[in-house]
Amino acid sequence: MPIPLITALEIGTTTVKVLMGEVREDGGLMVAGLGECESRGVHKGEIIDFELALNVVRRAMEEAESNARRSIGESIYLAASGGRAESRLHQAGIPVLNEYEEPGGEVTAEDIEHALDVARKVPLADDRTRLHTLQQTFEVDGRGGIVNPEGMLAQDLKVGMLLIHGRRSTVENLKKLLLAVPVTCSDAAFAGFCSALAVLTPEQKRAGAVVIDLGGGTTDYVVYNAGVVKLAGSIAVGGSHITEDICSGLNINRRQAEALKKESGNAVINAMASEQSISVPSDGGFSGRVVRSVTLHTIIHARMEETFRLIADQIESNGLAGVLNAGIVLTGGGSALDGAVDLAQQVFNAPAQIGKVCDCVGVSTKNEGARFAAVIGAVRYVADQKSAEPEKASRLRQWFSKLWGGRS
Amino acid sequence: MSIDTLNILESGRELRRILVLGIGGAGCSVVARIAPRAPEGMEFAVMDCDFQTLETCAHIENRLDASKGVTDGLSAGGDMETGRRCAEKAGKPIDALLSGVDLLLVVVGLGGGFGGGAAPVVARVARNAGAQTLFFTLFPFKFEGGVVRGKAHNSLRRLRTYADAIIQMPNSRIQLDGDALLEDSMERAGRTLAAGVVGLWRLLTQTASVCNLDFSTLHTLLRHCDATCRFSCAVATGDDRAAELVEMLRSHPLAEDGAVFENAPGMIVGITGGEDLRLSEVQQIVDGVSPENEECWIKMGVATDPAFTGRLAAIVLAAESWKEPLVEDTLGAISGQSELTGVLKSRSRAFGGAERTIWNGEDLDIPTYLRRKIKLPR
Repeated sequence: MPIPLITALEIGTTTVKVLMGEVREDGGLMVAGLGECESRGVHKGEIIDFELALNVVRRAMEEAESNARRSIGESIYLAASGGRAESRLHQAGIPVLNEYEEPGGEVTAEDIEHALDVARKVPLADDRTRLHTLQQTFEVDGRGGIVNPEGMLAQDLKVGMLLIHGRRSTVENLKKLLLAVPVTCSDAAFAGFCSALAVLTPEQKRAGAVVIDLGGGTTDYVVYNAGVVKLAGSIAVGGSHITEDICSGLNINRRQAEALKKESGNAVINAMASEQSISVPSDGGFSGRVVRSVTLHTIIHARMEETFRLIADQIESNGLAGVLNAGIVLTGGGSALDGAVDLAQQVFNAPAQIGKVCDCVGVSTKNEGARFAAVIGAVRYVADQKSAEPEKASRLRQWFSKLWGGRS
Repeated sequence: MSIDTLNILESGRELRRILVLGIGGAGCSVVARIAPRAPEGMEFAVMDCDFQTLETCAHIENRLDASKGVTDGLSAGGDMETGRRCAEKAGKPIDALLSGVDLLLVVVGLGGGFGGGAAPVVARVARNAGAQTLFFTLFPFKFEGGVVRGKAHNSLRRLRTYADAIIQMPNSRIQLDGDALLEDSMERAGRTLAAGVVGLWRLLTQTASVCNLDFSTLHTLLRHCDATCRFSCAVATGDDRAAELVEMLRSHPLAEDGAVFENAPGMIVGITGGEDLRLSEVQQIVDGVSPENEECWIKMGVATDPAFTGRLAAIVLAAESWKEPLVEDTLGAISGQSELTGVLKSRSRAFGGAERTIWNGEDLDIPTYLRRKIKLPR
């Protein structure tokens, strides 16, 4: 049986990325084709101009196809950021009965299935749509942290589900855009979660880690603890905000600001280099000028620190601050900004690093990995689901499918 | 007078709540020196992570122990990073301490661990809480070496992003000539600072003044002085007290023999006298300190207090440079009213008309440095 080719698409604020890849038997991911196109008509992860965005998506897909010398086919998977993604923890419990229908007994596979079913039925507001339901660990008679309760004696069984949900209209609009391409969107996944799948090792997930995807228009975050996702969300603040801040702070146009940010930007104010000056060439009716690097860095530092702190506050208010032993992993285009790692280290008071895509062939993981983390993760997510669902072969696979939350 | 007007007067008085805060070892010891001799109504607070330092300040009511979860009662050990972390952890208590404060006078010694690390954090919290901040910073002695001096400059630079005004005071400047006793030198350093702090406090709270000098005047100076200013203060008695006072103001450790006054682009002169204060004396003092050129922005305030009969006191605040403020925060911001509506309108199309990002009631589309009122170094 040939290995199916999976195509993932991310419509970001600055770039549209298409990645075609196949996951081999040993779990390694092979990138077959890659398409990237500067995004237009998208702001903060949401479509502002349908026609513009449509053209860009088409171009990126063509590029990927010619790159891979294969056709994308009919279906595509979407990594969606934006839409104000949030997560909610929902817990459900069932009583465990023995064979005489009396309380107290051995936990059977049916009991587990039943508990999961109950937990998945989380009520959701009308304008929200569920992106993922991720299973947490089981709780048997009040004792938590149990991975597989089957065969245990118990009175009652509880399981938590983390629901990641986004705004319905955002996701529907993205799907509608793909229909116009035309291609069918088989499934949508939360981009922040995908990034985490691409860059985190199982050891990091167990130790506790935060993956922050610094995108152009949104910043997504996922918090892992004890091997499961505990918190996820998205803030509609990203690299384009930094550019806008520089525009207004230094009175230059957006193109000048973007170039300045990429070449000389730094998220920490370096006392040594503060007196350096940078010359900005004239462009588009804006005259050239000389700015001090300390001014630029102050603007960027203020924005980045605030963004990190918003996430840190979320983590703290959910009581997860003390368990981030594997630290912070940064992905997305913003992670290329100088000083981002140092600043993250300062704000979260935990080790920080730029995410490296694990077990993947085809993209230069050192330089490009962090930028393509979301689409690579999306391919991996789809492959995991596919391999788990149809065969129902091994117990482990089945259990994995539950871990992804299944689809209810 | 109706009840409503009374209320307005009440709230008007509340507008000028001033808190004197000592941070770190040096700051705490200065505040501990000032507090027992301070005029009634002055509010004090100290903050450190070292349990021993806080114990020496037992007579001060508001003591904030910032060591929780970081050093647990020990000092920061000269490490600024530890100091910063302490302050970040204690963000909520600091916020509570500063709520309702309009002017925060901070005394801090830079170059050490807690003072240098925590002061920028306090400045940031104060700015977010809407308080104006004036930092009296003590700089290390020359013999303390380049590393400590480098640290002090580093934290000064961080402080400048958030503080409204900083008065720098090198420890060596207040060293007495010859073989003065250590205790005397320290006492004198503390006294010089104390005189400045008390003088400033008196300036702002004196209600029975002939020529009023209020909070907004100080605010104007603070906004324009680009975060650095000098001060000088003196008290004189006797027949020739006005001339003597001018001489004392000029020979103040921070005035550099009057050179600071000569080049100042803006200054505030506050004079307190008894009922026997003469106009000619006021003229003599202002003439004595103001620069020759006509470009200097001078604001003068005169207050009379029966307790000052036969005496004459003056405080001069001189800006070192004068720049147009980057962040246009009028006094409305102090009373908690946001003045950002103009900014809002002009920037609504920045993100292609996408929905604004509102997070906890804050509009994140507005540049952070504008919302936090961080001064951009130019």
